Amino acid sequence: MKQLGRSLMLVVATTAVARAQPQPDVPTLPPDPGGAPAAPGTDPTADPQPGDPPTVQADPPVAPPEAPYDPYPAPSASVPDEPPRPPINMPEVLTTPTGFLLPAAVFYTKFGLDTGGGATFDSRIGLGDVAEFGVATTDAIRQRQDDSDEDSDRIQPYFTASFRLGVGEDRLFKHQPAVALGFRKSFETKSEGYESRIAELTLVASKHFGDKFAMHVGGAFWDASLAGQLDSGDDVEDRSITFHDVATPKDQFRPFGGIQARPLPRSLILIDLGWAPEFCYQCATDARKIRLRPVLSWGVRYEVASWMRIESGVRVPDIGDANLLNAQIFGQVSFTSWGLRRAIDRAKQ
Amino acid sequence: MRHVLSLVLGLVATSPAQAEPITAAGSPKLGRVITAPSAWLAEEGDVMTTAQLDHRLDGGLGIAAGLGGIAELSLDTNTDPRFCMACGDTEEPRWFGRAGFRVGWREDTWLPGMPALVLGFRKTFASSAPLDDARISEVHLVASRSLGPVRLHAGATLTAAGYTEATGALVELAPTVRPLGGLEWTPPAYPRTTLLGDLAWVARFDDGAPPALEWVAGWGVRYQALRWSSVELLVRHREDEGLGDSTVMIRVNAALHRYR
Repeated sequence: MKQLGRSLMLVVATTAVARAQPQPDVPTLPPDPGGAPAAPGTDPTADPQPGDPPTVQADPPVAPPEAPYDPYPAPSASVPDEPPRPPINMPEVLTTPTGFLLPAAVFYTKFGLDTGGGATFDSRIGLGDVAEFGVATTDAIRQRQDDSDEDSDRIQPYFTASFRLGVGEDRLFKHQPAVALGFRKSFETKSEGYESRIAELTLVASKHFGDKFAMHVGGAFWDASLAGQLDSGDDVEDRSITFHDVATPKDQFRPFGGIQARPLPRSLILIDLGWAPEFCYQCATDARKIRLRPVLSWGVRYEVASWMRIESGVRVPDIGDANLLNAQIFGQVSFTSWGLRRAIDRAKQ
Repeated sequence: MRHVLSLVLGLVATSPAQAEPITAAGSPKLGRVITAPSAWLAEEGDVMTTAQLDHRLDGGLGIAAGLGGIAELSLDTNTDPRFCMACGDTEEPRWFGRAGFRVGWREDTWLPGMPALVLGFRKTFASSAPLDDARISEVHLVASRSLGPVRLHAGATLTAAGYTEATGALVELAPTVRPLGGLEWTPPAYPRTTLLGDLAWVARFDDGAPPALEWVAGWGVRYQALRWSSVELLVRHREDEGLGDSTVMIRVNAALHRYR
């Protein structure tokens, strides 16, 4: 209690001292260059007398003599206003690509985590409004030991690089959907003694229907390779297989798609269905060693700011088996930046 | 320290005095009744927190954040499921780390009189001994509607569960549908008080057998002590459990508004 009283007194005393201080000197404005008349009985050109109140010498006005003095001058006309930037359509629904490309010189970065310990990263840049280049890590590629292994694990990190090109919506003719042709390829990844790679060629079209709805439809042509001890038993040698050798072109092709709806101005509901390769190292036949598994995702994207979005949702990695136990809840945050574009625009002027 | 406490108490005491009267109806709605989920979502930018303790000293914590006004992301420690691993008749609750994602629509969004609807998914990602790899996943679809002083909740859950035996074999409960329901009633004479009742199904793990679902019925009272905080006193009964084994627990809920 004593301490509280002391604190209160200290606060009151400090306030009182502060109020007792004299007002700080206020700079006086220079005489009106336009020749406003001086107050009667005073000579503006006279030297200050000892009894006069102190005055602070202000800097000479920056404005020309005929303009009134402005203490807060407007920014120089040589700095142009920032042109309004259009909203950016995202290059992915949740896990599948869209037909929308990033605008030229716009950076896109996304980080993701899920309840299964998966971590992903994706970084892209728009090239000339007609292409996009990116590098990423994915946790969508899965592995199993053999046919009896009911639980598949993810292989991560799985590094990929991607390049997409296309045309924006309504660019060639009215009602034309945005179309993008993309190629994604992984670097060689080693997991549990096996080396694997994937490659994916996609063609996807995206179309807005009004302000609140958009649809994405596409097809993907997959390839993959797997190398290591693929046969059981003693004295077996390492060998490699490729998806295009053990599967038909029909098996390599898969349709994918997604929808997005905007029930609130800054919130979108997203649903998509895609595919991801699964490697089964000791499965009995080569055709079962590399397979494509359907992945269903649904979630919400919340646009926190024009440069930041938070996404969250559910991903079921093998919807074909209706395996709820392997489903994961994920959270993603993505950032977009017009910084490079601004710098380029300034350099052009 | 005392100064900080005085300041906090002062702020807590003065803020309700400046606002409208505190009522349960005018306060943040929670995403569950007692055990059963409701269709209420946290508002955009709100963070709802919950702490609970029962008479066996089993506790739990939970946090849920509204996302964009149409979804909610949550994390909690869930002690609803019971385990019995070579323990005779004694079944003990264990905790799970659980994450949830729910997306839905508020009342009257599409049509007047439409109930709030939520499609939710909850999944455990960690569990305490003896089953480190025990897992539960649940999809629920719930409708909730306010009818004067009463709030009704009805829906269904699709639950899957599993664990790995000592032999390495995976023992699973295939996705199973069960109904759920709940009731909240705020008597007009006591606008801060809400009577609660609900029925839900939760997983149960018995040694050597596949996981099963058992019903849990709960009832209790929620008192809206502050606009942003409420206290609940609850009783929960389980299937195959005598009245004397019922669980009595206390919960404290707090809403941190508008972090945005």
